[in-house]
Order: sequence, then C-alpha cells, then structure tokens
Amino acid sequence: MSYLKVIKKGLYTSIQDAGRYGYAQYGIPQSGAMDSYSAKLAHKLVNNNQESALIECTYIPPVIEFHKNYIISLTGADMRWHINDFTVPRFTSLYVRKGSILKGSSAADGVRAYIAVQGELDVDMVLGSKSYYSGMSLGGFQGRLLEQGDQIKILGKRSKWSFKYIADEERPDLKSEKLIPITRGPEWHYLDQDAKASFISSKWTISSQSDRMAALLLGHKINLKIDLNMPSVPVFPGIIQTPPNENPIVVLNDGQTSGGYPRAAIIPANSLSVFNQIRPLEPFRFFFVN
Amino acid sequence: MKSLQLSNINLIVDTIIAGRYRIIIDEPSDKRISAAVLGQQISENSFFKGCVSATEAEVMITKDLNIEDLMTHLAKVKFKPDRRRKKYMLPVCFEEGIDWDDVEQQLSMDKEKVIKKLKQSDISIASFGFLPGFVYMSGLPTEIQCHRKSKPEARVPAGSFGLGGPYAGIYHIVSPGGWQIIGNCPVSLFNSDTFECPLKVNDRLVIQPITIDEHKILAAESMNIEMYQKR
Repeated sequence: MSYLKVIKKGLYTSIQDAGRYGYAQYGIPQSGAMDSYSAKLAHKLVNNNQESALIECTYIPPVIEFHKNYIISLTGADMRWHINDFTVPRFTSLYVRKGSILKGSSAADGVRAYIAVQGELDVDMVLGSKSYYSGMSLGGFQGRLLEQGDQIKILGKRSKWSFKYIADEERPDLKSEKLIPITRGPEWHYLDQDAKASFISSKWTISSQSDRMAALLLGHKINLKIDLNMPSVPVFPGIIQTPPNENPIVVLNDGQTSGGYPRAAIIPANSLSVFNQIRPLEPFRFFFVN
Repeated sequence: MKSLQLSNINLIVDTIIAGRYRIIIDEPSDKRISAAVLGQQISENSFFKGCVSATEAEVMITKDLNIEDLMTHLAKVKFKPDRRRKKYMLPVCFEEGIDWDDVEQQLSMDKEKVIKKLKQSDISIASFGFLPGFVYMSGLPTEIQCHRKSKPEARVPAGSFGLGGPYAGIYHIVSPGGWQIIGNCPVSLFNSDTFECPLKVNDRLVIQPITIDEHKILAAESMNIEMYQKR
C-alpha cells in the first residue's frame, strides 16, 4: 500500500488545498493553505494540479515516514528539514525512498511550511474541498488535525523523476522586514485622522494569540470618529476590522463570514501569503496601494 | 459606484477590491426588503450561485469580473420581493435552556410568559451566516429582547436556541456563543451533505415548545426541517 505515516504530529499540522468556496452565505469560511503562494510552488515542483491537497505545518513540523518511493517538495518557512538525518533543501523536487523519515526543527524563518507529495492525498472531499476547518471538524484527515500514527494514503502513479527547482527570485522572501500593501476598506471613513495616519506610521506586530481564523494586530489602538452602531456586514480573508478603541483584527482563511465592526482596510488576496508568514512579535509595516 | 433599479428598488453597487463587490439598498420603502432577501434571490440566479453572501445590511458578490459585466448580469436577476413565504414549525425544547435565570431577571418576566410570547410572535428568517449554519430570526417583540452576554461562553451545544438583541438565533454547530441560551432545537436546518438550507430568508417560523422526551426522540430520528413545513 502507498501511504505516509505520521510519527510525530508537530504543533498544528493539517491537510489543506486551494480552499472551500461557495458556502460563505451559510457561514462556512474558505479555509485552504494560509501561504497559497508557497503551496502552489510545492505542487508545481511535483507536477501536481495547483488545487491539490498538501500538508501545512505550523512552526513545529511533524515527523513523516514514507512507505513507498515518492517525489516530494518542501516550501514555505525554513523548518531546517532533514531526510534520514541528511539536510535537504527547500524549493526543489526531492526523491525519497521507501522507509525514509522526514523531520525538521522549529521554523528558522516564517511560520508555515508545506509538504507536497506527487499524487493525491486520499482524504474525503467535504463540500468541494479537502481543507481542514476546525470550527466544524470539516475536511482534513477524518475531520481533524494530523495525529501520531495516522496513515495518509497516496493515490495516483508516480511520474518519472526529474529535478526541478524554484529560482531564487521566485521564492518568497521570509527574512526581510515585511511591507504589506493595504487598500481602504468600505468603512475607512469611520476612522479619525490619527487612526488613519497610524496605519502607515505605526510599526505593527501580530499577537501570539493569532491563528488560522484571525490575526490580532498590536501597534496602535484605533479610534473611531463616530459612535459605533453599524449592522453586521459580510467579511472575507484580508479584511482588517477595527473594533472601537481596540487592536485591529485581520480576518483570515478560517475566519467568520460576517461581522459588526468597521472594515477599515483590506490586505489584497495575493499579499496574504506574505502576511501569513509573519511571526508573532516580528515588526512589519503597511503601505497603501490603489 | 453605480446604481441599478431592480423591480422597484434602487441598488447601489460598488467595488470593495478586485473581484469583490457590495450592494446596498438605497432607502428601502418596504421594511421586509432587506439585503439578505435580495442576496437570497441573486444567489438563485445560476450565474451567481455560490458567489453571494449577505447580511440584512449588505450583499457581497465574489466573482472575477469587471463592474460593467456585473451590472449586466445583475440587471437580469428576477427579483420578486413579494414571493410567497413558506411557513415551518420549529420545535424547541425550553427545558434545555441554560440562561433562563438571567433572562427572567433581565426581562422581569417569567419563563412561561416568555415562551408564550415567542409562540405568538411572527418570527421569520432574517439572514444566515457569521458561523457555519447560524440562523438569525427577526420578529421578536421588544419586551422579550435581551442583551447579549458581556463575556461569551466558550462553548454552546449544537442546536442551541438563543436570544441576542433584536434577534433569536440557532447555533448549528458547537461554538463559542454570546447569546442567552433558552432552549434547544433537535431538528437540523441544513442538509448534512450539501449544507444547503431549505429555508429561505423571510420564511416564517412558528415556535413549537416540546418536552425533554420529545426532544430526545426527534434528535434520535435526525429529522430535517422540511418535514415541518406547514401547508
């Protein structure tokens, strides 16, 4: 049989794909890989369809044993990966032999790393996606995170080995200080002058309480110039909500689909991959785009 | 920002960010026409299936197209604000309520009277969303409207029936919750495979109090709300 075995589960290891779309109306978030850019690179290296499922590791990676020869790739954060105690590079295709063990250490940069395996992870498609969503115990491996002892079956034939790599300039830069683009949100005008200026002038960090649902931004509490009495409105990943006199909140992949706080600003979808690799307490800045 | 007349209501459409549009109703004359009703009917047009989410205040369309094309397709939506509302019985076991003490104190009204008022109210679906399967219901008389909790519970059971501000609501899944939980509904409002809801925004619900034993039986039968439609 063709499968991977989880020897150690890591900190928060889940199966994710390109996301679950079309159910926001009923409160089901899109989920999917938090750094979708790195996830796509991982699939490209092993000739998978970009919408395929892979393993998302968070800060502390799992230990995985391979029960057949596989072509795999490792992208995203630097988890200082080793196969059978030999250092292996990220952003290349890798050929692993049956019985090999993949392990790493806590992320040296970034937060989330991806393990793609050529073929298809054989887990249930739920509402059109294999992505794990904790709020409803939906998707992923039997509706949960990966646990020690799990055997993930791999479907599909392995193609001929070929070495592939991602050029340096295409790899995400997780080391330098991040500059995150934002646009004005529908309720931008609710903010007072000081609050508007603070978005650009402040050095921000992400609270360690943040997760796949939301990131709490530390740096400046936002004042509103009008009393908050707004009805609930739709939200989506990338929306920055500003509760009155509180820390702003960025709605992320597993986040709620509506909310009653001003949608002050928005991180465009294609910049969320960079944002989702910012480590807690790592300073970053916002800048405006149109 | 663009405007559009659909049926006899004026809509304002604008781009939030590439591929995301919002629609609000410009000064609705009929209070029953909320953005949630509009959103429901837009989503029934096959072009917009799966691309619509809506609250009572705003419709959001998520689709990769430019605003001119969006306007062309929106103009083709058959909007019937006066569509016939279906009516359903909603069985609720009020013995499963955990916040009755708070509610009785806040409303200065005893449990039996609150239940009686609920039974007599013209409750209807206001909108869906926030959490998976959450249903907002409007139509509560002001004397039984109560405050949300200042500190939300970490965990309320699936099926919890709660009161929060002007709304009643049902939690479809176990989740954190800030509403006053006064009962539990054993009937699933959603199809477990497709996650579609046979109930539409504006459909009416008649609250039917049930006993703990009846709650057990209905929960074991995994009944679906469609069996409770009144004809």
